[in-house]
Amino acid sequence: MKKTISVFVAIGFFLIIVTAVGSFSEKKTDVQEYYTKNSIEKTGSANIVNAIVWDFRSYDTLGEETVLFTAIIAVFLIAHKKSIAEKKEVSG
Amino acid sequence: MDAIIKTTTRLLVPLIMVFGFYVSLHGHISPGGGFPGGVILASAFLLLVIAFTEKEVEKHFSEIKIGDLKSVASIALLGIVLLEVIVRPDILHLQTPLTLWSGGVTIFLNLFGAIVVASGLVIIVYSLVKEEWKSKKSKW
Amino acid sequence: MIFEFLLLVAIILAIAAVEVKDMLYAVLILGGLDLVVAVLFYLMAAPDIAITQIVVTAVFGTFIYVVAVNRTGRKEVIE
Repeated sequence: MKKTISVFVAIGFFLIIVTAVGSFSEKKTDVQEYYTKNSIEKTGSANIVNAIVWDFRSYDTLGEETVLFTAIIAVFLIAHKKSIAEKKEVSG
Repeated sequence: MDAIIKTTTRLLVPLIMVFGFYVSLHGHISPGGGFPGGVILASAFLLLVIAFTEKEVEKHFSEIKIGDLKSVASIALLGIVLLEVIVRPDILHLQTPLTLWSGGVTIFLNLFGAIVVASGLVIIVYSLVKEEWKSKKSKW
Repeated sequence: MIFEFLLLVAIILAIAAVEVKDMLYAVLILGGLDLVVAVLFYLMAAPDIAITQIVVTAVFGTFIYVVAVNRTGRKEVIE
């Protein structure tokens, strides 16, 4: 029973996505037109994705890097807890 | 692991690192960028750690402690902040497009982002693999 | 034509990854699914996303799943 229900839900999501993919590209917003027309003149980089990520929305990317750095520090503090404690015992 | 896998790893790791630097430094012209380049650089270290045993890895990486990589990541993040806030509005229109030196300050931003991502993923991989080495049940 | 064929392959691989009893084989099938999805992104003219998909999920996702399987056990536990 569970399997049949999950299969039907998956088929429904698949149909929704297949019908929605065509309609995504038809809408054109002002921001999209501005980026595609002015990216080479304003930023000078030929790759539009890179121009958006590192130039038009660079503060957004800065936030992403900060989140990644915070995750790194958390992983380091949790995984190397024992070695840090041993160092403290040796030094102090 | 076998001798075949070790020899192949010795040959492949420099090429993978060169490809990672290419993807991150050439990201403003061809597809790529800082994030995939950094992850490719970290995957070279992942291949190294999987192929060799604990002693062989510790022999080469004992000087470079993992805490130093954390400091490198923080310095690169500081570089990103300085470039984006202070330097970027001044040299925005300097270069011609489709050459290597184009895109203003984007090439340095790609490099610093790749350094942050690569050092962070190396820390995560090394922590996980070291836990695996400590447990005696492991087959690595 | 090849686009729809790869979509079908992706669906078959996803169902196989759920149904396989051995967890290590499920992880490997999931890596193959990531490769197929990366080829789909490349056919949809998004090579940036294809590179990121291959490198992040097919390499690091597989590594983290293999570590998790190594710690918990290969056989599927049915409650």
